[in-house]
Amino acid sequence: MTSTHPLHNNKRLVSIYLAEFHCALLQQLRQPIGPLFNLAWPLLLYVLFAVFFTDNLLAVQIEGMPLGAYLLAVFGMFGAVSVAFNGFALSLNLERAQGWMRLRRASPISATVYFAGKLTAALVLCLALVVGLLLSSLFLAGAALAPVQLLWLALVLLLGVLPLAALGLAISYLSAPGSASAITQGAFYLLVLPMFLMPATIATLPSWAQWLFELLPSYQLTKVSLAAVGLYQGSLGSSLLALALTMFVSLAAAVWAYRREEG
Amino acid sequence: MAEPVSHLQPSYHPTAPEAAPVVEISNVTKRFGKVTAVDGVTLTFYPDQVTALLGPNGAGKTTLINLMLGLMRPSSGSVKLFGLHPQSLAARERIGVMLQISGVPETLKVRELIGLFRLYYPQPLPTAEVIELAGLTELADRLYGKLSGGEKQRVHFALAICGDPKLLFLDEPTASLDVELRQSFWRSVMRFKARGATILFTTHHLDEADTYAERIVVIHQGKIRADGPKSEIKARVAGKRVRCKTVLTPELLRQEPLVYEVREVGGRLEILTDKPEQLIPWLTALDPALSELEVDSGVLEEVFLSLLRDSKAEVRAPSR
Repeated sequence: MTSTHPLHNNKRLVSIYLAEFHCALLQQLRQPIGPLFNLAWPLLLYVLFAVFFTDNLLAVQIEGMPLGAYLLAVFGMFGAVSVAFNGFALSLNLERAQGWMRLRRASPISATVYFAGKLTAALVLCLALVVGLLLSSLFLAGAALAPVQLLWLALVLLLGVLPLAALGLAISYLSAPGSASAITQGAFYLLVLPMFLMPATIATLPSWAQWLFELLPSYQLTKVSLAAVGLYQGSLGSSLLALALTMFVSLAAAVWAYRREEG
Repeated sequence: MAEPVSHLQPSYHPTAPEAAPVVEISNVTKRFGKVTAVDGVTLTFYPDQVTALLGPNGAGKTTLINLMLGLMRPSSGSVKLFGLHPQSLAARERIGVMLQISGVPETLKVRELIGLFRLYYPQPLPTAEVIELAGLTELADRLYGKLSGGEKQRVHFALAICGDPKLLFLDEPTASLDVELRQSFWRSVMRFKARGATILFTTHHLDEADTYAERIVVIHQGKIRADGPKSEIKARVAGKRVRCKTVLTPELLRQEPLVYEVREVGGRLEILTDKPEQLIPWLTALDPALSELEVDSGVLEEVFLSLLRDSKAEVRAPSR
């Protein structure tokens, strides 16, 4: 018989969420190659560019911005996209393609709680990435950022994973199971494009190209990340709105696609 | 096309006269584009039955299972589990499912998987009992990815029963298992059945259906070809099997109207007929040296093949 007592139901939901989170974390720890790659790649790129390819990072500027702070913001964004797509969305694709989601759909399991548990595990990974980046910047690159700037950046990157993960979830479920992984990876490469172009460079592109960049949530997140380290002075209202819209529209699309799925 | 051989109401009764059905499929059709996978099917399953859903590949079995589980929506008609929509949580809390492909995460331990799944149900079985019923006592702390095929099937079974379901779906549960593992698996299933669950399974191993099912449903080309208690299905299609060693050739025997089917097995001929008392004198007249003669009742395999043949060709006329 189903327990209809709200307290029991809420308590059970919390237990399920914690168990899903625990299992998702265990999966990452027991097969660490994927998570390590998602962590190591942005960290490695940051250390390469900020430490080995640059003499006297503090003195170098790019388009008027201190390079160290710029690299931290950009590679942090790259890491957030990597965690959201390669760590979260791809793992869901794999479970969907292998049949695990089909068994779950036939069982009394709330998809929302399951996704929340997986996402929390991805956030733990993102936290490890953020800590790694900040420690690298402090002890290897010697970037001179105030503690409050570092904390703001950490918060922005952690929260920034949410709309990106929602987008990854929507892309996964709007794609057929067999092609979802390829499409997700394609979307990943599109989303990390902003890290390769400076804002001033983007401003020189044709207006249609600039408009396309504005559509990318990763570009909006880059602006917010740059603002956290004091490198973007423009208004953030539209960026924050764009990220919030990305999250809610993506979640709605993902729920619709999940319920529509057959077989 | 020949009419279905049988569409009987089960001659046994539900556990109590007022027992409500556990599954009601009402005139359900499911189309995929121009293909009709399930065509106007009406079926009802009652508590405590063990039913085998049989049919060749592409018959519509998996589609029917998917409709019952709420994994697909019918193009027309309705499906109810315990009087509820199959996609409702309340219905799903009362069923257990063992699918052909489960995609269970390889990096979780057996105990962790069971512990996770138990949480989804309001009144699950204790973990220790699930492990014991599924025969996983020595494997509980092993990673799923390190298990053999048969052991993995046991885990799938454990996940299906951990919610103490009233209705258990087993979709080809013993595919890829050897004979010994299949028997061991069915012992576990019957032990769970003894708790009072309804079981619906699909299988291509007709001996399993013959041994464990009380009721047989045969689906072919999206339609129900037979439905009823196993003994009645076998009796209605009739047929006995005569085995013997003889110099007579299958080609010769097939010309005899008494003979439905002939095949060679292990150096002997197996002849399907509904009048062995007429066939045997005829055989011995043609081959006085005929030996190793045996007669037994039709097995489900012949029944099944006969039901499929019904839709393709006329059944052989009765003997003179």
